[in-house]
Amino acid sequence: MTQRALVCNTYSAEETRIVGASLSPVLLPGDVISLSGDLGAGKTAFVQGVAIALGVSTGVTSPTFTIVHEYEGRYPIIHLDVYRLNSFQEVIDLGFEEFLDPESIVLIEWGEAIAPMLPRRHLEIDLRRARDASAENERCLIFRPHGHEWVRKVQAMRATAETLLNAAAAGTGSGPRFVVTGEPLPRDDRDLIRDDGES
Amino acid sequence: MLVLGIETSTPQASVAIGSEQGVVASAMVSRGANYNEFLLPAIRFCLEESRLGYRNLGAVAVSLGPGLFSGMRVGVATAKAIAQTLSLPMVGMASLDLVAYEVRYSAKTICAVLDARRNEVFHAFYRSSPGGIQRMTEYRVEKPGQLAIGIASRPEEVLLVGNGSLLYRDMFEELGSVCEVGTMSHAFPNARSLVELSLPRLFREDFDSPYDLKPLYLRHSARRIQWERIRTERSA
Repeated sequence: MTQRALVCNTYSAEETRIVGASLSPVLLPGDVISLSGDLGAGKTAFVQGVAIALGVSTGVTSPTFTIVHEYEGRYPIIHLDVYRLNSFQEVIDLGFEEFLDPESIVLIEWGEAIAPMLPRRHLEIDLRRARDASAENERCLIFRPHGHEWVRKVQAMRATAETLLNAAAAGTGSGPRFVVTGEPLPRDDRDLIRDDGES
Repeated sequence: MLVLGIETSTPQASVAIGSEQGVVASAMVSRGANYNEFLLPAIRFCLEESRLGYRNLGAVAVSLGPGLFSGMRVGVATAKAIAQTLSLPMVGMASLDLVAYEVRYSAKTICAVLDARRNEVFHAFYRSSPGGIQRMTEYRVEKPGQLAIGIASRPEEVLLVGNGSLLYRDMFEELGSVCEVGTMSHAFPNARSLVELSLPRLFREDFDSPYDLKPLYLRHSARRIQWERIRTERSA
């Protein structure tokens, strides 16, 4: 089956956090989210939005140098950044397979780098800067759901995010934020998306 | 000689203190606490309740897995720290050996099977020998289906023990009467068996160096992360 990507534009790090917060109500332990995007694209901002909305009170910061952060919110949250790792073995040596326990929500920065190790069902989020260099804070968030439940969760997030973003930007009239595209999924993943119940 | 045993390679963590005269104290937990939250208080509990102190210990035995990474890491690091601080000899034992040792009185071939997550199991085959067990195969990580084929291809009857055999018991029981699955009481390696099994090695002075001792990681991946390709694609 073909799955469509959902594209969302944000105009500040705060808006990226709002989108992250909008995803949080549908997240459950066992969910895995891969975030990709250059340094400063907003990966950590998105995770901050998710974590704060899940009741994490301690500071949520980038794990680029510390590699793994664990937070206690409504559910345990594992925030991982594989940017400084060079091999799959190093990822295994972190205890990655145990992070995928059904007890925690796992958010992986640069998850695309370890795509073959990700579970079949996960949410891929690609954060890109605007092509127009003058729009310094503008970001394009591309959500690629892998698996039916993620299609549903992304739809629920969209509805929440539209409400929250409109409320936050009241009066400024920034226009429609979300676009569904028929963008094809990345090469290696196409055959993983059948979602036939096998995990 | 009083031995401190530490076994944290599975979701059931345990510590025990004992000698050739038997185990004098043990503590076990299967859920709730993190390994690092459990381990030192559990050792203190065992020492205090048996009116002993760290100075009474003569050796440290630790389970090296195979098992869950976070547990092995905490268990091995703690065991090394205690052994080095108190200048005690230490020995490392395999978790699968401990599981098989529990059912050493069986005349059947014993297969110890521990859940490795991600639809795989760690396993090894044993036969009982006078006073213990003898391992016949390497420690392996495989899909349970592959293990079932391995069992089916053996001429003899096999007794499976360990939480991996319970998790995939339907698959193994399909093999029929050649295959018996053990009960929950033998599902996990425990520190009491670890203490008992470590004593012969300690008496032989067959020690491990704390500098060389490493958990048994059976999963390996030589694959490099393709950062060059990722960066090129992103900038495209």
